[in-house]
Amino acid sequence: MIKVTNLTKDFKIHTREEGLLGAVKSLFSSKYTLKRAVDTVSFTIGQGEIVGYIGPNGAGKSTTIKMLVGILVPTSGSVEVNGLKPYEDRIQNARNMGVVFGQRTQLWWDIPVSESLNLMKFMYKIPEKQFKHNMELFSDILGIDQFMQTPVRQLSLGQKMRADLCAALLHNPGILYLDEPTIGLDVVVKEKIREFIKEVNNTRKTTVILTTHDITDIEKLCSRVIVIDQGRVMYDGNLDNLKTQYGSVETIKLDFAGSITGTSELRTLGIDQYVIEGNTAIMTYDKRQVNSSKIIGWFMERTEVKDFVVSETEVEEVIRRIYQQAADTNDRSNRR
Amino acid sequence: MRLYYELAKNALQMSMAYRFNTCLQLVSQTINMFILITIWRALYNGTGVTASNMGAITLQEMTTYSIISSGIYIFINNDIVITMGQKLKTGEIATDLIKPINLKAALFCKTLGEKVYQILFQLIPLMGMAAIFVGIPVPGWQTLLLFFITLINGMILYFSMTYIIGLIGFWYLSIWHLRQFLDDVLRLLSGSFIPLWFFPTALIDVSSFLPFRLIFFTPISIYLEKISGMEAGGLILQQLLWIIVLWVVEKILWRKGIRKLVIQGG
Repeated sequence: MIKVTNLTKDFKIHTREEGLLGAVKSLFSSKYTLKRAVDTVSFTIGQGEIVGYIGPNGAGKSTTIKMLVGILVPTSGSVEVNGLKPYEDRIQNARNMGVVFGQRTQLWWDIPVSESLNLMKFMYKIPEKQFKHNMELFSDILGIDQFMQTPVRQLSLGQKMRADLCAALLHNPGILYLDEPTIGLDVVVKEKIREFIKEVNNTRKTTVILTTHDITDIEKLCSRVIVIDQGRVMYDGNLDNLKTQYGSVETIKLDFAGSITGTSELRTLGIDQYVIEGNTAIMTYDKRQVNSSKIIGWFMERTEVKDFVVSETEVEEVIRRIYQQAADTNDRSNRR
Repeated sequence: MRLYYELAKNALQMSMAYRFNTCLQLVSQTINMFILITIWRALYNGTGVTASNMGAITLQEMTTYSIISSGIYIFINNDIVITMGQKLKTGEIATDLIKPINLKAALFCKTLGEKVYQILFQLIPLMGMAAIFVGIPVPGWQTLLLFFITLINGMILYFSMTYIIGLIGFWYLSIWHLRQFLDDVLRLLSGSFIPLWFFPTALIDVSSFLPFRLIFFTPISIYLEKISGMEAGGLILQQLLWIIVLWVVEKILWRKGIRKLVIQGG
């Protein structure tokens, strides 16, 4: 469905020297540096998948999305969406996709939401019946009817986002691109939007590609994540694998009765770090080396265990680690 | 087709949201028109008729010239450069490009919608005032027909020029200066302010190789019946030729520009 091969995008950045003199100089000579925003990215996405496309700021997420939707022209490599090249067949490609940019609206600023949505009907040639059906369905889930007659410029961010989502899906597109759809929204609206996306994906088998910084978005929606940093794919696979690959560290907090001796033995079990304060032990370990039941067993042999909590690494932590690792390798290669 | 009708209708509705703007513009257009008329009266200095390189021109004709010129300005004027400049500077163009529409067609429909509004609330009131206070002679229907054909072609020409400047925004973000430049060139070479018949021959020669006079001078000369039917036909042909030339330029700029596109602001 979506096939991206060795996709690369360079931007020219004009360098201007500081100060007035620099400004004058730049009038006569324009120096620029090339910045590679997307670097030989390849992936394939099948129909009905929800893929989280994540990475730190400036990683190249939005640039990739913009090449997928046909706004930007790749420097090299290729993009194919349903057999079309989005840049060359921009209009045809646009008919089968819905796009929501979290930071801007695609609705008309000065006219009421209802008229903007009505325009969508003509723009995508949506049959009257389908339009009506979708409008009813969406206004139900997204609660749009409360602000249907308000001009877009007077809507709150959350309302605008809901209206935009509705506009992006009225024509039953095969692919939905969401570029930070939950940015700046409150928890309730975020939740509503996630449910809606999930619903659409379930009932229509709509492919969803989503960039976000919100880890909950990923945990609740994505079956697969692609992590990108400095334009390169760092990880592509399902979320659970990501967790085991990068998030194999667990922490266990255990309360016991009485006193305990020979805690140095814990090291031989495979526990990296432990702190014992009074009757509480906090231990971190790699779960590929040792599992929690073995540790608890060890304590139970020696004393009475009153309570314990095992906490897995949060996805957020996992991603932070991938970014960190990428930064480290970069440092190393730079030093070389 | 329905889409483009709806887009025009939308633009019309949006214009309605800025009524105060319209009133102010009408006031300044009225002032401008009367200043022009007053200047010509002063220049004629009570003589009623003066010689030019296209024969005698009466004050009456010059007054009508100024009125029609003011009217044409409202008819052709658009804000494509500002719109395009804003779209490119803020990155808003991204939201246009994700839609299955042709940007130029959408902009043209927007202009048409605004035009309907401006005709109703600016052009008609202005011409009404001119008819009441100064008087506008009306030529025969054949002349009027030719006038309207050249007028519409002129509007398309001006649209293309502004759209081309808009496309230059792909390379150069501050296109406002270029619009200013276009307006200055237009004021000089189109005959919007001073008719070409008062020009030195060198300037007439220059302007005859350029499309600008086809926007103002051509329709007004036809209206004033300074041009025969045959000549008018030739000028319409020239207009069509220029429309094609500018269209080709647009195509080339679009193709090259879209590769240059950077979406500002993420």
